[in-house]
Amino acid sequence: MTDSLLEVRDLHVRFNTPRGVVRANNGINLGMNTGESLGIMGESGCGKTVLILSLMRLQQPGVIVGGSIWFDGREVTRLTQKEMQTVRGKGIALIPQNHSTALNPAYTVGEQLGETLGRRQGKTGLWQTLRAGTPGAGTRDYENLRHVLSGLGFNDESVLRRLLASYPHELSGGMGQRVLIAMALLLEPKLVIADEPTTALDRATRAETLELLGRLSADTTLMVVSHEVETLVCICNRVAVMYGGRVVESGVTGRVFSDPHHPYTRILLQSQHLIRGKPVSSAAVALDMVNFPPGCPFHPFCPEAVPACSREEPPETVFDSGSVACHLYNGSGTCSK
Amino acid sequence: MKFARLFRRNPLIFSGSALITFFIFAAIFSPWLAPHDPWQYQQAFLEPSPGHLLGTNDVGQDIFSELLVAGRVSLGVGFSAALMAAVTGVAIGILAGFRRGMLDEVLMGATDVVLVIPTLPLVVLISVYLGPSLPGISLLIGLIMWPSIARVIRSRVLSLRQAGFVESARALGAGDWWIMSRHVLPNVLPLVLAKFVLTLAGAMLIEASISFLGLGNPSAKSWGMMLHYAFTRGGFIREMWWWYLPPGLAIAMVIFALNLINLGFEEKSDPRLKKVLE
Ligand SMILES: Nc1ncnc2c1ncn2[C@@H]1O[C@H](COP(=O)(O)OP(=O)(O)OP(=O)(O)O)[C@@H](O)[C@H]1O
Ligand SMILES: [Mg+2]
Repeated sequence: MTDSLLEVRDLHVRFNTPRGVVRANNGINLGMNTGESLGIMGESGCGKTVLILSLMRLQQPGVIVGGSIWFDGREVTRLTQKEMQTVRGKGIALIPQNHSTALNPAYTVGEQLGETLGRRQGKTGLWQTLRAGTPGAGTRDYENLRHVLSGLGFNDESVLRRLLASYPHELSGGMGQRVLIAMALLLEPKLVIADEPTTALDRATRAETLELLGRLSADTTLMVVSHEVETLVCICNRVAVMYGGRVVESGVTGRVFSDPHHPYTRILLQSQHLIRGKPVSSAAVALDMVNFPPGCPFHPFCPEAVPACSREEPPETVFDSGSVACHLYNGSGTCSK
Repeated sequence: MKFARLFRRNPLIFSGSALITFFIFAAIFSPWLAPHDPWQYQQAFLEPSPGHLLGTNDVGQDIFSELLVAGRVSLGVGFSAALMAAVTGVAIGILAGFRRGMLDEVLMGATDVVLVIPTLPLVVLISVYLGPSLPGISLLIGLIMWPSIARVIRSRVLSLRQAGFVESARALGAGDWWIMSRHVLPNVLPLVLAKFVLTLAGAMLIEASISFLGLGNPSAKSWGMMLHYAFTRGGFIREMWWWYLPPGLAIAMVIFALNLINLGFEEKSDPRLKKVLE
């Protein structure tokens, strides 16, 4: 635990909506060490995006009602918004999901990357802000850009020049995605988070991006959120499976996929092998995040449910390199049935 | 570059800008273009002739020269008032729309108060009180006209603050000031330009009204002032159309040009209007 970078304990996040209280995150426990790559998987609506936004305190209008988030020696939930600005970007950098809207249409790629560099260096006066442009060839900033972008496949000088001079709408999906990755990497963050990095991409670009993220995970601490198993297999050495705003199972990627412990993990994996692409298992669709069932959130759909499941929340059973939250396991990591 | 293309492509915007540019140039170069000194007393009540293209007024000043020089004050007051209104309106609109919360409520409350005040009576009242000073009148008109800009900008900012690039900038550590100046401001500028054109037209009309009522600065010639003198010094009863018509036409033409530009902007943003126009 010496190089623990992120430690989330019993995180609860809620949204107050006219329909009632949406319990988006419900006691999340999660840990990450420096150098690791962690995949977060789970169906649509299980609270993945809310979780990563909460790590950066960007979950508004959601409210963090309980739990703690330790990142790099600081308790994130206790920091002011001003202090958060140093956590966001330099500490945790997010690669946004939708590359076509995540870049400002009014600026060229170079100007936006230059902007990121300028902000890192603390050039935040109004004039500096408005004028932040493409770094000139030969400057330190330019070398910095070139270094990062060549790692992302823009090796050729003329290709690079053209990229920096183009506007966001002129980029292909894969290029846009890589620019966003570059933007995050320029800040030299301690943790990079990618939210659904491949969902918005076509098949060919998806393979390319997966390969890129896989290479990235070798020397970056990376968290990847996806509901596609194949995305995570390629990139992550550990995965956490979420259901109903909780982490129901976590562990080394190979183990989780070859020997899933939690009944939900098994069903999720089955549905993924049956239907490729976006999983449409009935479970999450049926789960109402407002009228939350007592006990284990999955028990109404669980084929292996026992009476205790509908009464008590299952405790988290921790074993060598993982955990599972299910009444079928108690303390040992082996099934009690 | 994008703007340049827009001006060339859209015939409404193009012709409107051409017309307004003509007036601005005429006003700027009026001391060299004017055949006479507009303040010099010559023979009064002359009819149009080659020597005095639009005749002379009650004290014998050359009306054509007056017309040219008066454009400076009319356009100058209009532009400075509209500029003040735009800067204030943009600042308040962005701040209110982006920061939300208490600040938004206070600022928009103030905006609504100013918005419901009937403009002309208030301006008349205050300019009587302040006396005839050009900067004073510009400031006054500017202060009266910012709220409608602030409202429009705010509602645009409300949707911009949800934009993907705003969220991703925030996720990479950008603060409010950074996002407002770097990401929000440039994206409302086209809207500001469209609103500026309308505000300019409004400001020039108010200035003309004040001057026509005789509340303007008598030592500064403006088109409204010329109308005022034509009306009070016998231009109308003597049916000297060459005295009262040109300043009225000048005002009308400038407003027309501004409305053309505005129509061009609207056509660009609303394709339905384009069909109606065709
Ligand atoms: N702004 C909001 N207001 C109300 N409820 C919200 C809001 N944002 C998220 N939620 C709720 O929180 C829950 C978790 O949402 P979240 O976006 O984290 O899901 P997700 O796992 O990222 O799903 P996806 O795979 O579709 O991105 C959902 O039930 C959603 O309805
Ligand atoms: Mg999501």
